[in-house]
Amino acid sequence: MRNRFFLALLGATLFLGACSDPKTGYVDNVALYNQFELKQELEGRYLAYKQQTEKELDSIKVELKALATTLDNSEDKAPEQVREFNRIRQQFLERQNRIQQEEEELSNAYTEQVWEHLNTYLREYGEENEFAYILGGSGQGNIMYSSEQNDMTNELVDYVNKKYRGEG
Amino acid sequence: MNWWITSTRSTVAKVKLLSVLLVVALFTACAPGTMPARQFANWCDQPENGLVKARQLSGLNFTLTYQPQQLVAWRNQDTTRQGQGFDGWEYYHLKIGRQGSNRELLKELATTPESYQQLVNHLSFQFQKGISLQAGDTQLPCLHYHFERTYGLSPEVDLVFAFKNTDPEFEQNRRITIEDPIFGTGILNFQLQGADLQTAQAIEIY
Repeated sequence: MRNRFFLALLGATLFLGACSDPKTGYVDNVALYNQFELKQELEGRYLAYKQQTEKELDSIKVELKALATTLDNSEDKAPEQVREFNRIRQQFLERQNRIQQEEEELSNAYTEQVWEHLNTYLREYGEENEFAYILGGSGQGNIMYSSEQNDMTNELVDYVNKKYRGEG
Repeated sequence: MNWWITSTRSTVAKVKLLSVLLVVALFTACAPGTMPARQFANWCDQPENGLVKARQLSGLNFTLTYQPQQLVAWRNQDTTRQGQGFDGWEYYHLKIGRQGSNRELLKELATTPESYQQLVNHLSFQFQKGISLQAGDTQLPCLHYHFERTYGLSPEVDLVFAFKNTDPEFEQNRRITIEDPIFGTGILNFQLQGADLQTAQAIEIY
């Protein structure tokens, strides 16, 4: 009698386990990305770098403008002055291109680092909490509807930041 | 009747004695006051004691271990001084390895002999600049640093580094930050609890 009861209980558990939906949730990618502390830290560094390079370019620009004004005002343009102007203009354009390239590389490297951290922490969260799927929604139609109870954005923001700080 | 009462009293006394012994045993188990040096070295490597923090990123394992002064002294064959020669310093060991690989990590990352040499040079002379420790509001630079050259004998990268200890009683938690420009992980933080470091510091080794 007892054995039958346990067998029935086991069967019911297995049946319910098989029928239950896989655990899923969704996260607002944009909010998660923007509220991630590593992203904020790297963004600060990127802006600082950008400011520094802008200052550098501005100082060349000032020199260039001064030379251009001198050249405009002089009736007979000395060939050395024209050559100097062209040299500085060339230097400015080269530096500007190099800076643009460096900024792009830095931005890509930082974005890659942020996503590397985020993907690792999300995978760890999913494994720890036995999620089958964590979907990423950004309001662009990739998730058309989900009830708010499946929105894990705030929880995940806390989780990834703790992980980043080394607390988790 | 008297015999029964005496016997019961004796049993109660035994139970009390056993309880006291159990409590004493529990206390000694929770806070080991002294232990052999080798056992202490193993104790420090147990993650449950809070001195080891591990992170996995970009397919790499980063394992940071706090090295108590007395352990550093013992490893330097200086057990009699119980770490006095290392007073005022906080030592850490960082191991970096690739998951499931027995090949030297730097050789895996390098594409040419020149780039391998660049990585070695970076780890030898530049990597230190990106290591810092935060205890409360105080941020400290890494002042002692050593990259262990293994010449292909170990697949992992081993680094030992130290900071000036401005909080010798370990009242604050520690956050170690590693800014890594070569392994592709960016900034890595490890947090250690001050209480765990206090416990480790209090253990005497012989």
